[in-house]
Amino acid sequence: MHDTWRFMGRFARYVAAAILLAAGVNAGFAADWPARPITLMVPFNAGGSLDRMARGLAPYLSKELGQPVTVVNRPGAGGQVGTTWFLQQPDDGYTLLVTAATPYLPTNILVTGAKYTLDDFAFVNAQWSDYTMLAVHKDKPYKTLKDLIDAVKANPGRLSTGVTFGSAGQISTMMMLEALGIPADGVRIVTYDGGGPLRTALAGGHLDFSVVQGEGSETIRDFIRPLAVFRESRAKEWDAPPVNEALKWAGVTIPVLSGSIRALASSASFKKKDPQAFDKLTAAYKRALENKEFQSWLAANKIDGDWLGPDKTSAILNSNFEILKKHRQLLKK
Amino acid sequence: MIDFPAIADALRMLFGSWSPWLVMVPGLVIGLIFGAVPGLTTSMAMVIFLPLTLYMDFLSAMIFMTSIFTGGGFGCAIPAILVNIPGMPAAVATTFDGYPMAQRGEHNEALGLGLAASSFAEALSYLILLLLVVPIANFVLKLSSPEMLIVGLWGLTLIAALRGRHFARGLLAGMLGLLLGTIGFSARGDIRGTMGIDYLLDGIPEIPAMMGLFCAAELFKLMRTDYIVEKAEARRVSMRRILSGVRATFRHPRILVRGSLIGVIIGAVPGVGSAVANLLAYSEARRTVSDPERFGKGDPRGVIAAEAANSSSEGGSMATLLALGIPGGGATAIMLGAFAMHNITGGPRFIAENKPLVYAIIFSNFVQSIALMAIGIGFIYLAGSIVRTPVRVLVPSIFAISVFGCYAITGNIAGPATFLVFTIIGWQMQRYDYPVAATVVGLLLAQLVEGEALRTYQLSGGDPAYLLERPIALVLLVLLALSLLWPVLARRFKIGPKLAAESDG
Repeated sequence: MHDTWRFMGRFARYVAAAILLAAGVNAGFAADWPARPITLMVPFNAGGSLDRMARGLAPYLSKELGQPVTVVNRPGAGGQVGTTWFLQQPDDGYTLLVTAATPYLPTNILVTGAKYTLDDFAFVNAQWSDYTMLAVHKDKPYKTLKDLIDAVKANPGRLSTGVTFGSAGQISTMMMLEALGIPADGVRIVTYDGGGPLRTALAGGHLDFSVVQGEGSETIRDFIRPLAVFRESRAKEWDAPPVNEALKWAGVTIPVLSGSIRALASSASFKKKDPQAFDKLTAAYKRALENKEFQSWLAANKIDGDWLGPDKTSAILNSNFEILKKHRQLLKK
Repeated sequence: MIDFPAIADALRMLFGSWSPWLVMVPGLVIGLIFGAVPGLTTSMAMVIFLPLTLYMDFLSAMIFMTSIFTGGGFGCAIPAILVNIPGMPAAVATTFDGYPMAQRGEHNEALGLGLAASSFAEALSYLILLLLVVPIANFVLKLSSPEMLIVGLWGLTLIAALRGRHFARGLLAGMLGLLLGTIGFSARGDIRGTMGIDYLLDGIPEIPAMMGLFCAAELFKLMRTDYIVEKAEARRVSMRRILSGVRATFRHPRILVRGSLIGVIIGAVPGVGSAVANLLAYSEARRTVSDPERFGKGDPRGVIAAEAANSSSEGGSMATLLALGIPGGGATAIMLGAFAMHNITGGPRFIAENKPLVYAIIFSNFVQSIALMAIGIGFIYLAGSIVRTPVRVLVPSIFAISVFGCYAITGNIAGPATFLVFTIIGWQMQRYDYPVAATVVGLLLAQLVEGEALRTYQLSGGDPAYLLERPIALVLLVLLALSLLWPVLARRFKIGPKLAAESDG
């Protein structure tokens, strides 16, 4: 009997020790991360802007985290293939996602039936954001947004604009037309397979106007005239007023949607399970962006190095997502 | 148009140091290898070697990149001729006559033809670039959806020529290709025929599908033989016979020059490129000769037309890149990356301010064309050993290389899966006498034709009178009609055979 009690007592001590040990391991988790190499998953092709950003970041993030950081590409279906794969990996923080948080991620969710939602991701930072702008070919007579809108209204269904499906440019175009009371068939909407062909058509003067990427349209600078930038303030690259200023005469304002946002994210469950490790990642990313060498690399490659941090990044992405969700029916024909 | 002081500066840049020359030969060899291995492409080679250009000055970087481009232009002809599998879509038409020549034991001649046509067309395309870079670029910008639609339809007429024994089956095979090509997202945002598979949202991966169709068609047929070339004495690689192929190329100057011109124009148009150029050039060559029935059975003229067009499209796409800063296709898009790495933005101002640099790039390409001749012959020697390899070794090797190549193309299992599915489709088609080449042409052109038809409709607002506002489209339409009716007209007025025979002979 006595022996039994002693045995039980010893057993209880072992259990307690085991529990403590387990807790210790758990507590040590954050301190240990990262204990092995980290993979940055890019759900687009090598050589694209997202890939260039990821490959630029990798060595500097590696320096801060003390582990090798490698980039893997899994392109397909506007990022949907690679993003699905990313969410299937263990949520241990050893696979991170570099994503086109706008417009591709919301399009996957809202339009092409992806099996994930925005809440599955914990965004660390939106490093590189671009805005959209409304531009016309330089030989067209329109000098201001008012000139253009007057022409649209005077020739219902005659003027043409180009869009790529599901892009911020398309939604912004539709929101603007709707706010101005122009019906959907008031302009000819021409759909292109990507930003490249759209820019070429605009540069060739085949379209009357189009809402295109701001920084991304540097290559066709000589062919176009910007009439409005879709931002709150003026842009340094293009001499055009912010869209709501350009629309003042009409007495309307429209929500300003970011053009494209390229960001780093972990899975949401990693952040929830191990907030300290997530903070460590955040701090490392921030320090990497403060590195002078990295900054000059970014400048030379014309890639932004913004630091917004997790909270601001999530706030912007959520508000963009809500705008997109609300105006989703604008994409339906 | 030519600025002579700038030319002097260009020559000084080129001959002032060794470094621009050191990268040319490696570039050509890389291009040849990536072009020749089924599933590897020129653009893939450029992505892989792009980081190297960071350590070069801009001129060397451009010479390196254009060398890869040039090497790939001929490299893709090698598997097309020797095993009937195009290394890239650019060599689809090369298989039509190149492979029948190889089967007859004329692979030396066929490779010689391909090499000479590629080298000549590459040099000619850069000569045109030298004289007309700005006009070509401006012309290309004038082409909009209606014009592109007509170009695409022109390519589709080739299906009629690929019919094999039964006309109806040829058309059916072509329609199948077109339908398969519409799978995935349309530009308008409709999702068609994906069966809920995410991988299909981008459409069927073209290169794995194309390789599957060709591969099965050929490899299963080969199973019953011991060697690709039946006669043992014909399997040798012979310099004399390669050179006779080279000489034979220049016996058809009209085919060669017309193929090159089609390549330059089509290559310059953004979004089209060599994959369409070789099909158009082949079908034009076939249509304008007096004896089209010989095409498809190992006619050297078919090889010349296809190879001239796929290599000269390089010069065309460089025109758009340099003069407009707009990439025409995958390869030039990556070159634009090299521009960015050296902090250079292409466009009208780039040419105006950097004439010597542009001339230097062009001149280096003349040298590349000569270097390609020399390196290409060496490469043919190596590749020629394929016909001496027993089929029982060759077939599984090609199969394995193709599967790996398909993985490399898509970066996931979608590539190999597509390859295997299309191997089965191709095998069944072959068995019931449906021409797989017609399906491939349909598949390759589907996106262009469908997208441009949609945009033509959208741009015109559904009003056919819109065409009247587009003179270039009207001219193209008349040319297309004339070219389709030419055989009929020629027979009617009895001018065809004699005239054509004289001019092509």
